[in-house]
Amino acid sequence: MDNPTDTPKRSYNPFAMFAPQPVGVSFDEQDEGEEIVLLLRAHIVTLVPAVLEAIVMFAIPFVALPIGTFIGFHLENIFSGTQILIMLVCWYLFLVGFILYSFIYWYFNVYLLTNERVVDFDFQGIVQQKTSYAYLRQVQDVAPSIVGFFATFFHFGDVIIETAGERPEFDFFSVARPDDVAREILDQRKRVEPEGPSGDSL
Amino acid sequence: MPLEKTTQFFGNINMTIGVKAILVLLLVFNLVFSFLVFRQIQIMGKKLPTPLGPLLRFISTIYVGVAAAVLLLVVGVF
Repeated sequence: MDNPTDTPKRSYNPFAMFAPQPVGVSFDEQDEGEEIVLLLRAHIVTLVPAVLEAIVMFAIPFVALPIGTFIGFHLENIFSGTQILIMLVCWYLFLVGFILYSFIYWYFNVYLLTNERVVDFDFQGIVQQKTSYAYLRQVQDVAPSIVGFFATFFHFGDVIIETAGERPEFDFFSVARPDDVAREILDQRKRVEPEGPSGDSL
Repeated sequence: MPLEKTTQFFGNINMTIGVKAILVLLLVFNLVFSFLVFRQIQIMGKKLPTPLGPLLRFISTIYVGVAAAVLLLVVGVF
């Protein structure tokens, strides 16, 4: 199970956080013959705080209105029924915006491992996004780490890739099965530059 | 008594105008935000085409439309 070679050959799940050879996915600077070996997103558990916030925001009107009535603050004495309805519509519009943003932030923060390089699509907020590349032959060290109770329980963590490229370090944050990711990166690295007789490839 | 009612009436009107102003401001920000989300999805859809890309683009377009409609609704009806 933990060996990436045991995973299904191709991933058809568009929401996958650990997708070997994802179907229907490509990227704009993909070279001819370059194949995506692994697509990674942050573990789904990292979305739990946003989901809890959304649930709380959803429930606030149901809780706040009766509490207001209970303490003697009658909203219906100040606003008409239509106005209260419009305020509720606005509240849920903001909620939908929050959910949409949380989702695309998770969905588009993608790490790719191809048979030539590692690619980091960094979606850093609503007006900023950055893409970084490092060729596999530039990879010098790969260090997976799983720290904390939830990370150990759900088996996710960071993979830190040291490179000899312009950007010295690539961090894959909170990805599922970081040890398998590191192993796969090293496997691909070996394929790009097979070990020499002295065994000093990496 | 009629004086108290009159004061309360004008107080409520002020409150309504205040709430309307805040709502309009928030909805304008929300409209800008929805445009940015739409553009980001468009850009990321080009940089990283995925099977979910068209659906996300559709949802973000609907969201921009609804954000604009609610803004007009608040300006016109509230």
